[in-house]
Amino acid sequence: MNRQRLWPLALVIALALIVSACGTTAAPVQVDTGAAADEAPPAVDEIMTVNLVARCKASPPYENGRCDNLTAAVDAVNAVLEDSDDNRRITLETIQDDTGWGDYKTEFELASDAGEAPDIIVSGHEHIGDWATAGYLVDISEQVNSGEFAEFEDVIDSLWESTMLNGKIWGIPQDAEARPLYFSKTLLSELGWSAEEIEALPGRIESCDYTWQDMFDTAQQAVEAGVVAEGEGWWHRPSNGPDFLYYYFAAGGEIESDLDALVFDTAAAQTVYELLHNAAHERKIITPNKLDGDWDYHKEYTSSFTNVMFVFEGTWRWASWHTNYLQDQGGEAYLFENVGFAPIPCMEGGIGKPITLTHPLVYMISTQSEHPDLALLLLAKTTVKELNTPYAVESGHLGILKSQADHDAYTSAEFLSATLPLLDHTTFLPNSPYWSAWSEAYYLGIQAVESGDLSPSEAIEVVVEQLQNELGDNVIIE
Amino acid sequence: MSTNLTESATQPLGAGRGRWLLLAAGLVLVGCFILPWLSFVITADQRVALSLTGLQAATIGLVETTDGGLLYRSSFWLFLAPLAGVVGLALGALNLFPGRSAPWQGLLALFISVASAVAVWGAFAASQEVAQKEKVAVEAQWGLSVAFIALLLLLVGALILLREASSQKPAFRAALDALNFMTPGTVLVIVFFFLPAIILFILSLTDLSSANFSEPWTYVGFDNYKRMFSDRFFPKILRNTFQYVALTLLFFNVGLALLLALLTAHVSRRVGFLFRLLWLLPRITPSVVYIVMWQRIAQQPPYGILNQFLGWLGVENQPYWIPEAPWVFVVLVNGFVGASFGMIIFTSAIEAIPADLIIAAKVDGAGDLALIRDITLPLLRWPLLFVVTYQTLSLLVSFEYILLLTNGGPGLFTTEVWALTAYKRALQTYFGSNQWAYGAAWGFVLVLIGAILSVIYLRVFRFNDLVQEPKIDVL
Repeated sequence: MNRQRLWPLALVIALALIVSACGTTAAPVQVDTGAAADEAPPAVDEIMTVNLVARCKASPPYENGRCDNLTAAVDAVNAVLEDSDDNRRITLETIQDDTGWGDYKTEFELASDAGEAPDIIVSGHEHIGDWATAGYLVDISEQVNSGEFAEFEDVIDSLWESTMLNGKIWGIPQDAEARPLYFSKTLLSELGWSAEEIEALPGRIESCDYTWQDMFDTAQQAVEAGVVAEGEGWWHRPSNGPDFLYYYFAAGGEIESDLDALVFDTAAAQTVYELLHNAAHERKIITPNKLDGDWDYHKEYTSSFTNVMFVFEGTWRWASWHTNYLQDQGGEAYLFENVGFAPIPCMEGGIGKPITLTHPLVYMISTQSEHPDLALLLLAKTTVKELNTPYAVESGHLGILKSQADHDAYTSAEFLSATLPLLDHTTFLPNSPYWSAWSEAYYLGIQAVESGDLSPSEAIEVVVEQLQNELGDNVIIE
Repeated sequence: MSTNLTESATQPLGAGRGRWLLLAAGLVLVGCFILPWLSFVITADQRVALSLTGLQAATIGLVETTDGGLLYRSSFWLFLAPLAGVVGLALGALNLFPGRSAPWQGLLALFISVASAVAVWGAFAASQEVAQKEKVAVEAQWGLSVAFIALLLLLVGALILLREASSQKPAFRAALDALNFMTPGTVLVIVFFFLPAIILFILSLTDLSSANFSEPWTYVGFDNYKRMFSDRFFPKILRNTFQYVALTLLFFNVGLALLLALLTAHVSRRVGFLFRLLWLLPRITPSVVYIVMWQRIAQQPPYGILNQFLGWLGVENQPYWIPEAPWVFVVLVNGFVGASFGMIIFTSAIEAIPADLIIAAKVDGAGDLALIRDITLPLLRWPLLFVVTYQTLSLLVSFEYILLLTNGGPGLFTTEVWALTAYKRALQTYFGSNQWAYGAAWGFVLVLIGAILSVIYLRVFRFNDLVQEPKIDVL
């Protein structure tokens, strides 16, 4: 018998045995865990440790609290479990990620599809639109509304709105912010504004006495007077994001409808596009290339407020400016001295009110979590002022709890107290599975008019075409 | 070898072993799949039948708990496994009679055993999730494992059958040997090119996107292609792609590469080596670092290096240069990386030119330029064509430097190339609305363009002729 001809056979059989052994030994183990979870808690002496996984998008160091607060609440959860004679105890594994929103969202979707989703994910509330629809999130309406968790009663009521889809609650608010107009007191006084005039500016903006167009006039004067360089009178963010939606709201645009569709108001969009085209090409207060995506340069260059006069940014940027760029110039004190803030001014021909936009982040629980009850308990213990306040102060985010309004640690944070009234003017992104496509199309128009590649009317045509192409019946063009 | 052949002809190798394997494997497979199914039909009790062997799960579908009940998810392709069993039994039985073995039998058994092994493997993987909740699925996994082993036995039986057949028919054996030589390369091309291309094409006929991710794929025909061709920026992106490939290829990947090769080959070896090493730096620098370097070179004052120098020269109004001249940067950035490939190929070809030719030309009074024109360049025909072809195709699908440098901007699709559009549609949006299927349509067209261009290059430039007549080495 030829021995050489036997070894491939032996190899294949050995391989097959290994493969089948792997498959069958692994499976019963998994069944055991599954079965244990279904059983009622047995005798207290058999302590079972459950490991939860949480994934947070957060920029270090000032946003670390998004995940760290969960870790800090683990002991409180275990104490509750012990008191209630539950034999389970939790440990927590956190994964902090600082990638872009799009990648972050895709990661969770791919993980969910692969059956490896984390128990808890913190993300923008607008993702509820896609995720709840796809069945990735646990509906927690019942538990939240039952009054079982006192912590949730403390959450500011308007924030629950951002966690809802089809009348159900899908997440717990984690933080909130506002997006104000920052203005350089230094540059305004160089332009000849008196200290009183500068101090009065936020009040004038509140009452629509000083409009968006007035702001553009001031910026233009600054450029013409050489106080700022051409293209540095007024800056917005250098890439797509939630901000551009409040331009549309300010111009009188509506986005949500009663139907399973989003609205695109061409008149409002036209106003926005004309405004941007005008700013970049006639007034020359912003460079046509501002949307170059260069955040590093944008953050650093705007931080000192000696280069750009008006900046549309988020409240969290305040923390990022003084932590990362202004440490040797006095940190936050430098900003208070040289920078003022106000809501986004009224747009002439628009809704006649100042505006801002809040993009709350929310903790959500995956349907793949084997212990959604423990995950929810952890979220309850995280939603307390003792944990949320230090995070809010450090990261420049607004409070989410009613009790924070008279909580010393919060009220003594000057910036937070000063920006909290911005929430009176706030708007939200829609929780809709169509939001993403809507936003991409609308942003295409912004890019086009600002770069000068298209006129505002041409841009409208392109955007409408793209919206109809992408959303079909799920968009209503008005 | 030849003795072995004659031996084989008179006494077929492994005679009998193949057929017994086929019979055994066939019996197990048929038993695995058909008996439990029958028991299910007879008892009509799913749970009883399932727990008998757990193999219903394989024939009827996989079990999943919803509200305490059982849900059957059909895995259609599993029908291949009992079929393989039947084929195994039939072929085994046929081979019980002498002189009945033929090459087609081995091929058939080979094909069906591989196909059903893949199906069983897939079912096993799909059952993992269910197995965590439902015990019967674990039993099904046992059954699937048994079936898998039986299929591997069937595969071995098929291979032995093929050996027997090939030893009896030398022509078939020769054909098999030729195939064997090509197998490693063929497998690579199939696994890493054909299969992905086919999956890409299938994907492009669906509407898969992050908005309907969890639903099964829906067939939408050629809608994605219609949408792509009716996109108003389609012509601009196409033009950008050709512009990018042509300019980078002409000026850098071939032009500069050739120039560098000629220059560094005509200076002292050591200096030439040093210069070539320098030109390799962009290639070995990680792409993100490389692009950040370019961005910092072009940045506004006080960050930009270029503007530092211009400032000393008294130039005012210094912009961020990349959006000012995006195409210059796109071509430069890619060209500096791409030039090194051609440079190395050309240099080695130049250095391989026999000294006799150069000496003879010099004796005839040729100067440096004449040498290059009349001796070097004609002898570089093959490497030139190779570099043009290879670099055209790689430029066509490359986009990472453009993504990092301009992301297709500034403004509207100013520097957006085809591959970048495919990537953006499928994978990169601010709010994560990924349209995998639509992106796949863009990607598949690129695959087609690449394939067509390869054929054109191979035919028009007659690569085969050039390969058959090596002009450099034969003297």
